[in-house]
Amino acid sequence: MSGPSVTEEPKSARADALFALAMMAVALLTMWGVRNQPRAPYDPVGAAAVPFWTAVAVLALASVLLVRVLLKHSTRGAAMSLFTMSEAVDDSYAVVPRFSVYAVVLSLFYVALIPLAGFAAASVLFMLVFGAALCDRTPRSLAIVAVVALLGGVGLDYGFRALLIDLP
Amino acid sequence: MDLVQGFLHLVTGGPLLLLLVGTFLGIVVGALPGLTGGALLALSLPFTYRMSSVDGVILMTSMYVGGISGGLITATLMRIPGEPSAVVTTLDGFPMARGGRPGRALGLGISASLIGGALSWVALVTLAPAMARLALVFGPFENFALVLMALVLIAALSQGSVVKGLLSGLFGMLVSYPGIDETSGQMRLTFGFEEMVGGFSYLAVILGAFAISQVLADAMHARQKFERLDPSVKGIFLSPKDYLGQAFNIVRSSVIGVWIGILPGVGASISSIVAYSVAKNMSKTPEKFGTGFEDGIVAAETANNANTGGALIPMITLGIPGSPAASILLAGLLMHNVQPGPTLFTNSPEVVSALMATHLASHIVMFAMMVAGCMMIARLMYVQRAYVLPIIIVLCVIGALAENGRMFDVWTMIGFGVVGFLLELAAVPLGPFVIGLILAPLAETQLRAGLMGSNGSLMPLVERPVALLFLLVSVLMFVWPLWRDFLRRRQTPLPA
Repeated sequence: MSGPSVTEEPKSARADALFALAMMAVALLTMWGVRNQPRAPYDPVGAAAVPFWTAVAVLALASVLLVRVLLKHSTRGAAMSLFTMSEAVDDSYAVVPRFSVYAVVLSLFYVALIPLAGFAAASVLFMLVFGAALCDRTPRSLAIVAVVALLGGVGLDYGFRALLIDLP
Repeated sequence: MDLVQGFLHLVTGGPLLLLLVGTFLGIVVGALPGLTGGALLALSLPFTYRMSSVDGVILMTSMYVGGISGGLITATLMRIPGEPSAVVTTLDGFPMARGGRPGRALGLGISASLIGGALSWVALVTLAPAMARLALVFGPFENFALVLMALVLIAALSQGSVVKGLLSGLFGMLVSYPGIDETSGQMRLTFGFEEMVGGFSYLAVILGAFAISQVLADAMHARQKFERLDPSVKGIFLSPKDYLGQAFNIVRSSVIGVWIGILPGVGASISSIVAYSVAKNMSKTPEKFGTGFEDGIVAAETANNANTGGALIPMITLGIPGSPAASILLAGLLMHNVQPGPTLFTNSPEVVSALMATHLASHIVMFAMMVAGCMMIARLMYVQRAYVLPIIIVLCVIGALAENGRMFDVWTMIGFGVVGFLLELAAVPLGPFVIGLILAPLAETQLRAGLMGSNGSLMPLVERPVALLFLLVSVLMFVWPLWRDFLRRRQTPLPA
């Protein structure tokens, strides 16, 4: 059973450090957010107590994680090893991280477009652009993307309005 | 509605259709790598809105069972586990299929799934009512300690670091706090935004964390292509002798699956790993494991389906989900104003009957569908993800809008999709996050109710034996992995 490779370690340490710092920021934001919460007379702890102490626990655990990263202690558990061993490595295609970025950016544009263009038009446009970005760009694939976008966007809009779901 | 009525209800038109559609969709999504049964459950949540709680439970339970089962198809034929719980199946399923016996490998897996699921159903219908009666005597402090134990358990037993798992759970709790405080009626953590008065929508957060994050991860693999399959599934039906030969393995793996399922928050993946390891350790021929050995396939597939019945036991009796997927099922019940817990058996017996009947019926439907159509389902792998992923995002948007019609919920969903994706990249498990999100209100309400009764004293937590037991287990489960890690580092010599 093999653990994470040497090249993976700095990457995972960096990710762990960023995660710990992000959790600390969320915890501090929570503590700041409940600082002036009034306490009802019948309530011995008040509405601020549980969020505050949860945030304290987050701060403590995030500090532990950060210290472990700084001391170069692995944060990966033993339960990972069986998965690492048994996962099939398929190198017959290229993993394209920029597609995930496209997905985020296009989704943001899509959601922003819905109130302006309406659900159906925004959905057709989104499916067309996102599908075209992901597919293998052969004429056949592009044609299927276009058909799926048209039928999907308009069909889902009609279908869900029929189900009385109020779409913009 | 008792259990017999639950079964009778299932064979009427609408519920039967929901059972068939739910199981089929679950198998398909379970078979496809990337999208998991959990994501499908999240995606289905908004569409159960217009249904009765019973019909919603039928659809979601059948998706849950189908999702766990479908993973074995691609795990066996292509060494690509459609579900994390099918990873162990690849160890022996794929070598057997590659060795010219794909039908036999699939037959073993499908039959083991059916029997494991059926045995876990027996556990569900016998243990759940007894556990519910036991839980009726729990007070607020016991309930609070139980939620705490659930969070620590899932963090300790989920894949990877216990500290990261716990942080994920606590982050889920923090996300649940904004909005109106249930106990005092005060607004909390709204930061002056009107939209935050209602807090984050559970549905939007779950859709984001489970479905959108999965699409973002899948998009990277959009160009993946799969080799064509041999269409022969000869030998998919097993003989009675085959079943008898595996009887002990099946019973042992079922017990492991049910037991691990009952542990709060621990999913089917751990069940199959443990059952496989136990089968290997107890075997007279352990060297055959990993080479296409029948016992390995049977152990893994029995255990992961047995986990489903086990996971439902704490969910319906205590309101504590036994797996991340069960936590989404729990969210679905909460959306229908059905509060799982010991009173569910008296307040909504029809929901309990429907859930139990569906659990068994969907296993039978799953068996029939997978025996008849496993090759057809496997061929869905050839459909380019470029056609599917955009539709999933559009469906998620509809889902987020279905609850309140607020664009704020859609933005929340996209935001938590990105957060979920980044957490996955940082190897932070998402299961504890969702369980923390769902259980936080229960934990807080119970703790504050207890404190009101004890004039602000926390002493009942250590004075009441059951609460103390839960606390001690929590502490033990938190300290044990850290202590084990400390010992391992002490024993490992430092590199020169």
